[in-house]
Amino acid sequence: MEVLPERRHELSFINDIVPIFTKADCANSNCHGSVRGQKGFKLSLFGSDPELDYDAITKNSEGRRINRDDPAKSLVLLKPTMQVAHGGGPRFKVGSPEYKLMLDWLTEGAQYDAPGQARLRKLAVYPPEYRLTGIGSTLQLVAAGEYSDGSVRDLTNIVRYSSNIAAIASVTNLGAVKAEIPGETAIMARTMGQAAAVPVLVVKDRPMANYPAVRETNYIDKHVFAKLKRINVIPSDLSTDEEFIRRVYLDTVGHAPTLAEVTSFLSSTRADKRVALIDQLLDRPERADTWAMRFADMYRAGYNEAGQKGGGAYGRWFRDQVKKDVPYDEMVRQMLVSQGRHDFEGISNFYFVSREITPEESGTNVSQLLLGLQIECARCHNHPFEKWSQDDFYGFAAFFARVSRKDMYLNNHNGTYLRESGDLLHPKTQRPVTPKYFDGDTEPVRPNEDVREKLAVWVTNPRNPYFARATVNRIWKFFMGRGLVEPVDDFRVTNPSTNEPLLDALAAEFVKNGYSLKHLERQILNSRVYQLSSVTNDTNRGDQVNYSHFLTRRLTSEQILDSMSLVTGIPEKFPSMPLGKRAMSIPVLPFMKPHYMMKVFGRNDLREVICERDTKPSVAQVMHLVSGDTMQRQITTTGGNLDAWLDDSSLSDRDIVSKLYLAALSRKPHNDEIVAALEPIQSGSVTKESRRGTFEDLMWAIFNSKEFLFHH
Amino acid sequence: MRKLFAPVSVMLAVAATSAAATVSLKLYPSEIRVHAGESQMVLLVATDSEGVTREVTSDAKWSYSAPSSAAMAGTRTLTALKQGSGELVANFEGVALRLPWKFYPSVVTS
Repeated sequence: MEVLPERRHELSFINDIVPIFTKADCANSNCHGSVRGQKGFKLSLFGSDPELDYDAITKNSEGRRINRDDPAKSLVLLKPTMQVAHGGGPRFKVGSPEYKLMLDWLTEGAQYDAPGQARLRKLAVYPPEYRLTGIGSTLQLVAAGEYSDGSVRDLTNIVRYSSNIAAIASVTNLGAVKAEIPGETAIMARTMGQAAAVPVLVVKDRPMANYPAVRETNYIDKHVFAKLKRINVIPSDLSTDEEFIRRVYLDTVGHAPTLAEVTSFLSSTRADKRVALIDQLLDRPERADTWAMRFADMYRAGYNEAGQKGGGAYGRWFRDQVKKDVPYDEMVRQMLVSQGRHDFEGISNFYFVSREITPEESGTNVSQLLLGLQIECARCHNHPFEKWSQDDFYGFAAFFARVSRKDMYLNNHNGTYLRESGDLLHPKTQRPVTPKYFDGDTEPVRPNEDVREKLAVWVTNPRNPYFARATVNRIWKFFMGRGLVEPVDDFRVTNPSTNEPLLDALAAEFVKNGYSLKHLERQILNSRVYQLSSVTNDTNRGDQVNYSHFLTRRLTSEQILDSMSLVTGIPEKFPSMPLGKRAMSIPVLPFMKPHYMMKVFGRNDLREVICERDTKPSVAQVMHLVSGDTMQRQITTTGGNLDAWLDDSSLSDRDIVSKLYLAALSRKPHNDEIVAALEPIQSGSVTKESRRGTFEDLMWAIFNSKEFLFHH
Repeated sequence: MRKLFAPVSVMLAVAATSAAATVSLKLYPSEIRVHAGESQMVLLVATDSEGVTREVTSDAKWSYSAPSSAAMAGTRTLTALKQGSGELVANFEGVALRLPWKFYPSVVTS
């Protein structure tokens, strides 16, 4: 039998008293756990810093919060029991277990723990996940903590519970969960600076007796459909060929297919024509532009002084890497060790994701962009929901202590350089910090060594628990419209993914196949999940997180502009760019002259502090579509496809309507649509101008339709 | 040593005609390691042939070895009375799951 040291059965400030403040909701971010505390009483957030809490209770404000001569008269007891006025209201009652525990501790002398006191090392709540079947059904959670001396303590009545969405599943102060309405949420448990989460699924009924068999193409389908079956949701039908070709073109080459491409695909009788089309598109050069645009957004190409030249070089670097199918881990290694002049060495812009190149900014950005970890809270205090401490934050930031910016007279010529020496000082100790990996060892830096090289190896190590999962989650969102974890850069225990087995499988496949973007892209595009229709059924209408149907979303400004231009045959002119340059191939725009349509549709002329597009609709967007000069120019400029069709005597007006529908929407028009389109020229005298005007109106109507403006 | 937070689990053989019969049981945690004087809650979860999970802690019959070392309060909390080891047994629908315990000594100070 394993032998543990005897544990003195005495009250522990850390293990018995600190949890009371978390449980009673005193140490949350809206009360005494806030940055400034409350009414002069400042506790650490969720008990993450017991020493701070001890000083706050026993020493600060001249020690007036405790009364050693008459413990029951201590403010720390009188206030939460409302024996004296307390702005936070009653937190527990006189005589309650919490009251007795605190009174005992005060009576015993209100001591801090002796050195070596066992500390909570891991908190777990079980069951690890749960499905509640039936509204009103319940579950009692059980919490247990593993301590540094190897013992275990039942914490079911100690932890603070909360539900991410209490409307779906509520939880009592003692861990009893109740199903309220169908949906998904997670129950959080927190104490002593530790947190755990239990994903909870609420379904109304038992599984359907006649759930249909759904064909699976690959492992993605297996994991998504297994989840859907568990929650009684039937996936939508497979998309039509018309829906599929438009979708897959927009996601790979960045624009809708041309008339010729649509016609060819729809007329093909090959059984594997979707697989073949995906293979063709993955080899198209425009695919590199689409990826370069995604990376330019993600890595904020062209931010600040790096400007158009640096951003342009950065965008070209991404495009070249994708063209050569350079594995993503190799790209990331190059980014992490990059230096040089921004306009010559595109990759040297990597550290320019923030206005200032400081170790703290770089540590924050690298952890968020590459590892999906938001650790910035730990810059000022231990992370409230995660295990990251201030030491973790500065340990990671220290990898970038020597990364610096070299300012030139012309901002466009600035660069990123590695200094020969330099340390990051810890704000508390003012001593140099040794670089330290998350969950890992320190990495002492030798003279003249670029410690970023070792960091790059650690980040891209196949066993790194963060990198592959964070990367596939972003890639998944590019194609599916929503990350398995949202926000995509906020992986934490208290923000679980909606399909953990799928996330694990995607990451494993990504690593196994050499971090190939193309390979993963091919797997996603070939999955039935990707190819599901956006048309919902009775069971999946409300689903937005389980990929039971394709999630519709507005096209980006580049997709709209390039698709429109292909329909009309009229090249769009972008400031400072040659006529005919595709919008998707311009990762950074000149900030003095942004293209108006790109600006109002969420494209930043300079990359701001966000790394995802603003997808919200606006009045400016509507007005520009309805009466702006972009569409007017595209529709009315002569010499394009419309004039060619009008001049072709072999084409009837019905044929031209069909061509417009196929070119813009990848489908043939319905009969009522043809009738409506041609109604103005069915009677009376038809002039050349009125005939063209009719088709201009039709183009305007199509370009303003949701079917054209949305990805579906 | 077992992985603490994994369950003790058992898969049951069920006839194909048994609609919604229990097919697996999971008992959390996998073992109990507490000091004398402390308690540990347990949780028993049943999954039926249709994949529906149900907490059945209160529906099971509980028994334990070495009754002088442990006490069961209600149907979900085992309290360690003194140092020793033993086994907590959950019986549900004729199936027994065994959960080992180890109780460590405690010294109560004045």
